[in-house]
Amino acid sequence: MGTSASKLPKDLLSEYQELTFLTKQEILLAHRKFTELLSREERQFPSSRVSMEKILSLPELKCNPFRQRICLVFSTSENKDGSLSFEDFLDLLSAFSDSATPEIKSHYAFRIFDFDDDGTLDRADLEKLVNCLTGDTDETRLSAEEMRQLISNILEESDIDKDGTVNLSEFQHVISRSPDFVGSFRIIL
Amino acid sequence: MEETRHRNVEFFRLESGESAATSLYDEPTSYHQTAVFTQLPSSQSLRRRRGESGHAGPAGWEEEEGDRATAGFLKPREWDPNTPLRMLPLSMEQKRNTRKQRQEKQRNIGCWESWQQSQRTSRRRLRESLANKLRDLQPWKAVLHQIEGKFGSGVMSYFTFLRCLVYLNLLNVLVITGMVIVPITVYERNSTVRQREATCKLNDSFLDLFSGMGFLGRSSLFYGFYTRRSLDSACLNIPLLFLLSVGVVLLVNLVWVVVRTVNGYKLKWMMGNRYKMTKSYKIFCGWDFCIQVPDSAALRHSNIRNDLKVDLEEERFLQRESQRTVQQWVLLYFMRAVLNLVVFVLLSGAFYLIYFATQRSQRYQQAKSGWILNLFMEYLPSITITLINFLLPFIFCKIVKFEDYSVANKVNITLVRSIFLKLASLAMFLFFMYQSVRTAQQNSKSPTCEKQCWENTIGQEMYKLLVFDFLASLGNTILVAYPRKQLVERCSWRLVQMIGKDQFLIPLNVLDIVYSQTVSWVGLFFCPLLPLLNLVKMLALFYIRKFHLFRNCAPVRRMFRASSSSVLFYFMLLLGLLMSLAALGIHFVEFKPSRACGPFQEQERVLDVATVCIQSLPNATRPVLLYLVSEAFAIPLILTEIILLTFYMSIYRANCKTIERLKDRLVMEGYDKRFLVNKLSAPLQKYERRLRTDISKGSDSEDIHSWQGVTDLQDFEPVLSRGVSVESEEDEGRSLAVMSTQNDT
Repeated sequence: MGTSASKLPKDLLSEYQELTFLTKQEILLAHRKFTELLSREERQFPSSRVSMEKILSLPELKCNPFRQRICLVFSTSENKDGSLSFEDFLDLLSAFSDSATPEIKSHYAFRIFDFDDDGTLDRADLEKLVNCLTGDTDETRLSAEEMRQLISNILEESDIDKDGTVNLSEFQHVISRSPDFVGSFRIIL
Repeated sequence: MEETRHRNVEFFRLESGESAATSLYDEPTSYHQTAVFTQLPSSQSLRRRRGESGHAGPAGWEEEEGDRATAGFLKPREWDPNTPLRMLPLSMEQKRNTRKQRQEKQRNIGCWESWQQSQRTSRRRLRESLANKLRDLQPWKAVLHQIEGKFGSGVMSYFTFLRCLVYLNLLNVLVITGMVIVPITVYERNSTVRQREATCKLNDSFLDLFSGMGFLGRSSLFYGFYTRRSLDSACLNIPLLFLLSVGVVLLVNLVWVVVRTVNGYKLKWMMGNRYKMTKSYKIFCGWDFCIQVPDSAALRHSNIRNDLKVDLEEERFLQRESQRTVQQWVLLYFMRAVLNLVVFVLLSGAFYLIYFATQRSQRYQQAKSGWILNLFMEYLPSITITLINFLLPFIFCKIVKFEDYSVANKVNITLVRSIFLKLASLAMFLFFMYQSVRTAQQNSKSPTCEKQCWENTIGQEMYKLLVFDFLASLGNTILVAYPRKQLVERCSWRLVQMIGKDQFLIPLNVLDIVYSQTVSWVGLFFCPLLPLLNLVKMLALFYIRKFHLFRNCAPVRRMFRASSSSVLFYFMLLLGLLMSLAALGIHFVEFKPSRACGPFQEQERVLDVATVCIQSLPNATRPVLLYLVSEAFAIPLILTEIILLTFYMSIYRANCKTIERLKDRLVMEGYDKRFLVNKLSAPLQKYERRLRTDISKGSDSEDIHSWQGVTDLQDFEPVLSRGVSVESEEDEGRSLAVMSTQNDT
């Protein structure tokens, strides 16, 4: 276990430092955590992937209602199964790190909230989002009437061009005024 | 002319908002899924990733096309070559590619520029690593993370506030040590203190540690210690340094608090009433991604749910309120008046109690009735004030339930009452102290050693307040909350369960530390080392509160936003600071410093030290200084300020107007976009149908590309030229955000 730090070559480490918002210690920690999820054979290959189930078992993501969306957004896998390579994992941590810029954070937040990947948050997306926030069981969900009222309110507030959906720039416009967002959109290993 | 046009646009926008529920929101579902929509620049920035692997179905060909378009015109428009690679929302592989491209480009440009660029990069890296190192130096980082993970960012904001106050107190201690204590220890030769010691009888005991008398009263903790010593020139002497250090501390603190409050207020204003976006915030920024514990996650879910329900409830409450009959209003107002009267009676009762305690404590002569009673009488005012501050906020919480305010107002009103109580009780106490000082000054016929130095007495009272407040919070945590929690966990009686565990109510806890900081400011002049004491107290309080939070508290049921709360914290702090400044001002103007002790025993007024110094200055500087304090200088100063303010106000108004205009234009562009997309998608759908039949006949994809070229260049040329304006919509959104942040200067 102790040798895992030395597995990451120095030039690769500095490249990761350049390409992400993570510090050296954070990258090494991420590498250790990531290799723990891999089996013994898989550790030999630098490009091996960890399945979505295993990633979701991390305590940092276990309680997150958006955990599957997060994996899907950051996965570069060909077959869209949400599995992450180490570099994807670093991308994820970088976007959620302390020093990531609000633009990056809001960009990824938008993609996480865009459940059907169509580039805008429409009523269906917003409904799923609200359900994720309140808890997605029958007794925790808002009633249909409340949901309708809430979504109309949200669209009234943030849909600036009144086309019935919230697009990226409208989303960033809302987010840019919220001081809490940068503080809460964080995952620290 | 301009006016009418503006109104027209306004009307248009309003109309669109009203009709939103009916026609507009049904239509877009078809509109934003059309093929043309996916090619708009605004949606393409998002689909870059999806383009990597083709989708099945008729959308497949257009994905490829989209990717090519991305490579063609979108990347250079979006990614400025100077932004660091890590700031691009791309995957690692794509970032590598971008870097390769940049390096190639760098090879093309000149040697000088490439050197400049590499210099810029290395400078940036150095800065970042330095910032990281500095951040690592901050204390309690791990603890704060832990708290945030378990209890959310609202509770953490309390602890960061506490940490800020620790820094502030540390700064104050450094200033006072540097300006007063160090000069005194360097020039320590005089023995006025020892002379006085000889004349007074000495009976020191460890109890002095609590009462602040005896050896502690003679130590450098209190005002009386700082006499005029060997360091005694006209402009460099202990009294002047003393006055200056108090002034510097208060000024620095004022600036610090004001800057913090203004920063917080700016943010709050941006989210404020003008642009109502509260529900969007709750949805888009509702989840705290830091949470790692299942319990807190479940709690967060229920918090958000309750919060949303409360909001929707509040909307209905407003509706209900507008439907109230006159009779109901009258009843309600009567009820509120009665309850306000109750609050008033409670407050005046509390103040009378403080008055009574102060009187008893002052009149009490040190009898031989045992040290416990002595100490109790010494502490009587502190105990009264602390008890009142502890009990009344709970009563206020109960009272406000009957007043039928909306939820947000309920919290605010309780808070305002509690703030008023805390600060006013302190002010009242000071007032009574001053009054007894004045009567003592008028008939000062009985000069015992301790009584003469009334500044010391006030300092001792502040000292006692601080000490007792600390002991009370320590006792509350260990002796009340901890047994209570054990009882609730072990015992299943209904009564016990009804009481429940303690809750970590952030506003009341913040009020506690604001109070203690205010005491330290008020007492600063009389007890210059009070910041040191406060520093120690805050440090201990951090651990006590942490213990309390982790061991004793049930999670808070109500959600508390970090941003809105921190504004409130600093505002409370500002109120406390203003109060202590006022108290000190009154003291300087109204009272003669006592003759027996302290740095100002030779002066008629405290500020005379400064006058003496100015008198001794060379002739050239004196008129300048005199001019600076005269009205002749004040009037131009005020005028300049007024002009500056007017200037900023007009900028602010202009920015507001521009924001409105931009908003209107955005709505218009949105309409245009929808119109164009609808127009475009009709022939496209027709073509798709034809394409499907073609595919079934077995034609190849070359045909598709040729069609694309034809449509792009010929059929829709006028439309494409309009497309530029669609693109500009995004930019406008951005500039709108920029404008609104700029607008708060």
